Amino acid sequence: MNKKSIIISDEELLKQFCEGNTLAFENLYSRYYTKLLYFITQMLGDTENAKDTLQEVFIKLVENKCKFDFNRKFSVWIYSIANNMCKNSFKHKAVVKKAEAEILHTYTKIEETTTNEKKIAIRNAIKNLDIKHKQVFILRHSYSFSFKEIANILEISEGTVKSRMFNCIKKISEQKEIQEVK
Amino acid sequence: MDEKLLQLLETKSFLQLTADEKQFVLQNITEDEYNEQHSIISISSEIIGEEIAAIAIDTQVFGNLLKQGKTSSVFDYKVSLIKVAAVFLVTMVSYHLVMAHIYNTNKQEPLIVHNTDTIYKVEKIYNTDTVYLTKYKTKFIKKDCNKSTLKIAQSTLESQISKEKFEYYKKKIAYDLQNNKNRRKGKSLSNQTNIFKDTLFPVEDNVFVGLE
Repeated sequence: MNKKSIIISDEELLKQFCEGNTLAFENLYSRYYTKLLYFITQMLGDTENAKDTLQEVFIKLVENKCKFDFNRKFSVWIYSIANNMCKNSFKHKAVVKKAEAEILHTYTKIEETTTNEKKIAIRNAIKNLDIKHKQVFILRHSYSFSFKEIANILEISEGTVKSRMFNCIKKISEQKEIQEVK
Repeated sequence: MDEKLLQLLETKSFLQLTADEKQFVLQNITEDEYNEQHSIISISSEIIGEEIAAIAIDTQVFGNLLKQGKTSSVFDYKVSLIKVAAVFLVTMVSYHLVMAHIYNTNKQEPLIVHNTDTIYKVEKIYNTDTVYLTKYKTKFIKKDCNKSTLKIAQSTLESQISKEKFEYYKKKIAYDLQNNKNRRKGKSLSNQTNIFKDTLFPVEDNVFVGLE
């Protein structure tokens, strides 16, 4: 007997969660935990702080599960929440300073374990990107969001997103390390 | 740069491009630049994918999330002591006012006993459509009726005699008056007058005539 796997959409899962199905929430949590944590960590730089922020994102999801506009895309909505949470964290200067320190720490850690030189160079180049460019780049390559969706999440124009995307590629390729690897 | 160029960079190497696409790409950047940027994007996506895959899902947090989600909205606010005190005070005053209002609305009026000197007891009620008030007034007048002496009475009471009787009496009076005339001429009807004695005859509205 053939088993058919049915992929339930995020929106459907949220609907089920709104109706009281906690398993649906568990599913959504598993789907988004790693990607969101990566995004938030890249934004804040501090893994522990990122975990706390991510927890707040999920709490907000639990609280507003039934307020969600089901005509929207769930992924865009949850990333918007995460982005706003990060924005709030940016307001605290101490967090930003800690983030910078964390970036350096991660950089050294990766350098020790990775062998591919170009990969290391690109990884570092991404880490060194400023927040505005980094968030566009990560959203595009971590979740394959369209430019329009990224614009919705970050509350900026689509043109700005494209412009930032090109600048990212340009900035990465111009990094000294990458130039040396060439 | 165009969005189309970005999409090509993300999806295809220069060798994979069609002739038209190559032509389009070369209008913007060189082949080397394209390859370099395509490589950066590919490796970046790979790095990001690897880093995401390396993150372990924290399952311990999950259990608390539902509970926290339910309660955090109520208890996570940081409220100053003055605000708490103010809210408490307002609540107490409101409670007191509400309770006072409830007490006042539930309180019953005391029973008042009225003392009276006279108590009227109604035994029977008579229903009547018309009440007649009767007044009699006797009046003696002299009327020109050929020297005969007549007792004339007037009453405010409406005549209750029938129309036939009235006509009958009218004729009798006329007869009587005629007899008086006749008497003057020498005919005596004294015996006949007895039949009308003590009888009042209506002669006009509210005027009754009786023989003496």
